[in-house]
Amino acid sequence: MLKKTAILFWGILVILWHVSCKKKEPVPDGMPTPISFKVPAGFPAPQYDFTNNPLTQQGFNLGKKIFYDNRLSSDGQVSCENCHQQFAGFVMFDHDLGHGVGGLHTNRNPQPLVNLAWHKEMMWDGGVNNIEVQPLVPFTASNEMNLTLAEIVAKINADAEYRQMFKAAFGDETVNSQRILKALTQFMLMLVSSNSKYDKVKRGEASFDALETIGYQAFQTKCNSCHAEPLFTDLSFRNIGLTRDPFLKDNGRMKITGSLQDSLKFKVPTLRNAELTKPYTHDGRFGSLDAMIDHYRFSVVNDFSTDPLVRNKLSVSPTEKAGLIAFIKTLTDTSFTKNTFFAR
Amino acid sequence: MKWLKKSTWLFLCLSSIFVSCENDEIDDSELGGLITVRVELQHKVGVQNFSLLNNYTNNFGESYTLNKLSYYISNISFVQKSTGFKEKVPESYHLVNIADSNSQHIAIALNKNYYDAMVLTIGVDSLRNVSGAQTGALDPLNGMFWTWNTGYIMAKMEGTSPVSTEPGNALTYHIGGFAGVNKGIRTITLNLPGPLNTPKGGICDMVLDVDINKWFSGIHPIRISDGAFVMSVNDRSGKIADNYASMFSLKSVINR
Repeated sequence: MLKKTAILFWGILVILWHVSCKKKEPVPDGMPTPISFKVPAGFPAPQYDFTNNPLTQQGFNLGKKIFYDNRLSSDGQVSCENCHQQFAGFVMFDHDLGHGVGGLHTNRNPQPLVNLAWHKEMMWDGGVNNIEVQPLVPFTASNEMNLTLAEIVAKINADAEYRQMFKAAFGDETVNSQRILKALTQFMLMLVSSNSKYDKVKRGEASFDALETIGYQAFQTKCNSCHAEPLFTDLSFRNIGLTRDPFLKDNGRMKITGSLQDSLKFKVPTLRNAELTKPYTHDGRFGSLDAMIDHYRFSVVNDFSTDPLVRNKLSVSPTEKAGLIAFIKTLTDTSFTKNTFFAR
Repeated sequence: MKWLKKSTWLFLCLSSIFVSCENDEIDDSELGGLITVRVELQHKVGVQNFSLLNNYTNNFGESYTLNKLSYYISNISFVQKSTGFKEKVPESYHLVNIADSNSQHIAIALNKNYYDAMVLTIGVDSLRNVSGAQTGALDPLNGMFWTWNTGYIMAKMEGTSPVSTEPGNALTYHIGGFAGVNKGIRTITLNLPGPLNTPKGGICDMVLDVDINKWFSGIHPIRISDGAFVMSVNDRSGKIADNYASMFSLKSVINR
């Protein structure tokens, strides 16, 4: 009897609570359609705080249009896609350094846009502390898209189709830098790759062949400390024993922190889709997985900041190397690189 | 009877939800504030009025001319010193630009009138430096944002000086950094002569003198001839921040 009363009592309370906290205004028509961000099984919690920028279909569509719009550059030729091509895992296919307007080279190898919701610091040196402000770099760099932010806003605002898309995504036609950046961020956050053969093996839907198995075992003992699963980067900054390029004179992380200890340290890149993202390292100096692995086997140069994990080079047998290459190729996710949802 | 005890606790918890829901609505009645404080920033060099493109001399006898001077004022709050009670002005981010007289007037709504000190931050708090795309005064479009090492330029001085050894005798001090000992953020307290005592619904006009020469000699000696170009966070930029934090002084407080 008492229990029944209690249930009734709680039932009423819950109803009251819903009524008292319900928003007074009815949901207006034309509200953007929410997209729920799915964290793949085994992935950690994302770094990105979605509460200030809830994902919507309309916000994503707008971000995609901006991403692929080459009008947003001083010569009208360069969009974000220029250095981040989907078929190449969102890097610039087979380029050591990126290039922007007028064919001007950038100073670094374009990084893959993948699983960015888990990254806190952007760029090879981590100089950008939030993904939302990352696009400011290529927009305004004189060797990339070469416009002022005011010019970007003006170009977008001049386009009636854009203004309609802003209304659909944000409720009115106002075009400002915050909305541009948040929409672009929505597009970038959705670039999740978690359906490679490796992922299928982890889910029990496939299995490694003999060579891939050798490679995965070698990977787990020799590579996983930095290229940590499941992102295949621990997001840290490390000096892997590369000599400083005399032309680029890139000191890496030290430029940001001002600390000598960070000399020649660069962000550990993900290995996801690495088969497609060659060449490798911050300046794209190694053209193949073979050459990249051989660096760790034979050519690590020790400096005071060289990572202890590679100081003594890595002992990788020829069979293990073949295995590692086969394993890394299991990280290629064609359902990501060919997903029409992300395509222009 | 165990369930009853549990129920009571749960009931208390849920009740607090009711209360918090209601509070959200009550707050509306206080919007608009009891009094309005209008702060005007009057820029000077010593006792002279300051204007862009005019020639001035700092305390080291170095002459200079500015074509740009902007800085952030943020997180304004008012304090009753005897109790420590503080009223924070919500979302208070202001970009003061010498070229725009509107930006030199800040209107603040307060719910109480007994404060006898004003606290303000020169620069933008560290949280907003890492919180992604902002708008209004914090829109990166305002030219007060570094992209290579993201964060706000807290204060910016640009001009020329014959003692500068930079190309074109340029004088360029961009002061940023939101963390570490040399960051560009400074918080200052300005004591008022007494409590505001502005009548309900009334306006209080407050004028602050801002002495530009303090950039060079407020606390540390910063000679233009020792370096006319600062665009990163280092010991010198931190000293300049110490200096500009001392450029504000209260000139008058008058209730209208």
